[in-house]
Amino acid sequence: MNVKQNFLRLTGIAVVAGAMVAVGSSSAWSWDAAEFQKRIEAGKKTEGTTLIQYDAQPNYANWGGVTHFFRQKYGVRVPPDMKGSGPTLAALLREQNTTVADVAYYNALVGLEAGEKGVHQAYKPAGWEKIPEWCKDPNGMWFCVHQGVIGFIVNTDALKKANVPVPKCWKDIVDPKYKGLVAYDDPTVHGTAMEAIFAANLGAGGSTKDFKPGIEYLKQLDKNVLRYSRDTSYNPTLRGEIGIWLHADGSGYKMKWEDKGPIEVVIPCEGTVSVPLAMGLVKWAKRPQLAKAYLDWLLSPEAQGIWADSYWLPILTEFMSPQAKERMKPLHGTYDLIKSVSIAEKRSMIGDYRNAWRDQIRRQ
Amino acid sequence: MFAKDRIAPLFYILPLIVFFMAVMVYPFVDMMIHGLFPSQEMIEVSGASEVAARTLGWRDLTFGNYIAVFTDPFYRSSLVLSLVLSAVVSALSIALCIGPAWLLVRRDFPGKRAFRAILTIPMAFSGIIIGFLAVIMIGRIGFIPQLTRWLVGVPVGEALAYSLTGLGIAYIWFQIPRATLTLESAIRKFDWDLDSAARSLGASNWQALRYVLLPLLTPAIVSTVAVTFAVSMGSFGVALLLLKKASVFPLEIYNQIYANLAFEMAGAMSVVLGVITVGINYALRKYAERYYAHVVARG
Repeated sequence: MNVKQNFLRLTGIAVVAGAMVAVGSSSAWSWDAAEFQKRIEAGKKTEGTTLIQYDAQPNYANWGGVTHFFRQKYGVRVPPDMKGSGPTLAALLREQNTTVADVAYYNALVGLEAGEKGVHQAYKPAGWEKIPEWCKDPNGMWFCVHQGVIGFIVNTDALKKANVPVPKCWKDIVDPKYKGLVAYDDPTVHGTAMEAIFAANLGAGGSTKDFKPGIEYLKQLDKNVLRYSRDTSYNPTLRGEIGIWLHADGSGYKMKWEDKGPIEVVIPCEGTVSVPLAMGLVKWAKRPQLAKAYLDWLLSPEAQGIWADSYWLPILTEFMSPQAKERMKPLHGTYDLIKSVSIAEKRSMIGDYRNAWRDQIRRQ
Repeated sequence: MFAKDRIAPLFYILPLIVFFMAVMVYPFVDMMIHGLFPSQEMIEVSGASEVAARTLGWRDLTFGNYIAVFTDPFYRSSLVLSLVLSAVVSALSIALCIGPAWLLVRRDFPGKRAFRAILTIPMAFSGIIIGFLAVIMIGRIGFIPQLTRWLVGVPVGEALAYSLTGLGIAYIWFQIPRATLTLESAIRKFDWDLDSAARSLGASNWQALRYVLLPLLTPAIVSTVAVTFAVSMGSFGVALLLLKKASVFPLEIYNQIYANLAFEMAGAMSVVLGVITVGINYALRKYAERYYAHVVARG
């Protein structure tokens, strides 16, 4: 994360505390709340006060909190929508120009596919140039809004009782002393678990072209794994039934700060990957004015800040509050260990890797 | 007069027929037809398939899903596991419950009513709660391993919940009330005079058991197997929380819907599960009836 210098922009209108501009970007951008309010009001006049987002699950990535804030402050309702990434794309492909959706949210792997299949229109929201290159489509078909980072969610009490230290690296947890303490969810069921074994592959020396090291590593790890849950491992980890859960970091911080559990997050020393989540503007959006404003807002200090406060690493990390920065701190490792992986390359191997996992790990 | 006798009973059962059509026949036929269309595998990260973009027509009909249930090693192994598990669990729960059922019929003892009430507790719990209880008792940091570690220094049953044995124990636990109550009502129907008659004719305990009680008990046991087997075949909540990596058939169906959104595959699998379970149930009951007729005729 390169340090960014901030300038206050003197527009004469109310200056928002978080207004910042990245040095070096050609089009200087800042969050202008008053200007935004005007745009929203204009949009509401012609397009109404409801905006439809496919895949807006209130309990996932705190969409409940994000959409609630948007409604309270700007008077536009974004109703909950329980489709996941796959169903969202399937619905758009099926509905085409009859769709009610204006914007859509996906795991970036699916977002990329949605862009390719032509269900989006190009839109580069304000703040676009600050999103890292690997996390957006060069033409603006989709862009990332936040990410989860794969790490070890560690129950320190459970490890203390088992007399083992908190692991720091992928290679640590295959040691027989961690027998029965490790768990990750079934990657054929959970997308995040798929990303976890993807990270394990890179940690074990594999690449986006070669997952053999990953499978060999996971075979070894299998001896230490308690189970491959098809449910969630959140509560078992919080209780200490599971000592080390390979999962996205946010669940760990939530356990630590909201549930006050004996939980720490470790970013493994060999490196990890993030699970990027992306938005796209639907090609047939019936409320384009509001949709564009909303997409801009999702990259604003407000929305990005809400995500950071709910333990999702925002794509524009500069908008994290000091408290969020303090709370989202791994016990070992840092977020510099995130490897930037091309989403297209990741996608190209994931199907085969998943099948290999099913055939060689689950089937044994 | 004649017509009225014929028609009146129809009115009594009409609500049930309507209800039955709505909740059983219609969904079953719907699933059966769904199962005839190609599966649209749409796993989260791989995105949607091409098939999803167009509407399916009659030309797409296929038995592929039904065949896959028996040829794909994953579906087949989970189906086999379900069948074996349900059979073993039925046998063990009957062995465990036949004594208590007999006691409930034949003996009066203090606290009998409370005993019967306690026996039905597992019936009120869903599979997920039972799975959770198993984790609490015989999980990695379960009560039993913790207690034995404290008492004798060795944890007994550590992480047992995630093995097949642990799953079997959990299944038996929720079968206890069904097995006991079904056996109890069957035993209550016994003609105990036959037992007394055999004894007064000089039969020993063993002879009375072997030649009188067991033949009389067989239909009761078979119909209890029919009930417990069917319930075990359909249960998936317990397995969702237990088992390291193996999977039971209903859990695979759940997976098809929630993870793969393959409603077609799920439909075909549900139909297979339904047909197998109902078929076995029917055969068992037929057998019990025949056996009973045979014994009575002979006796």
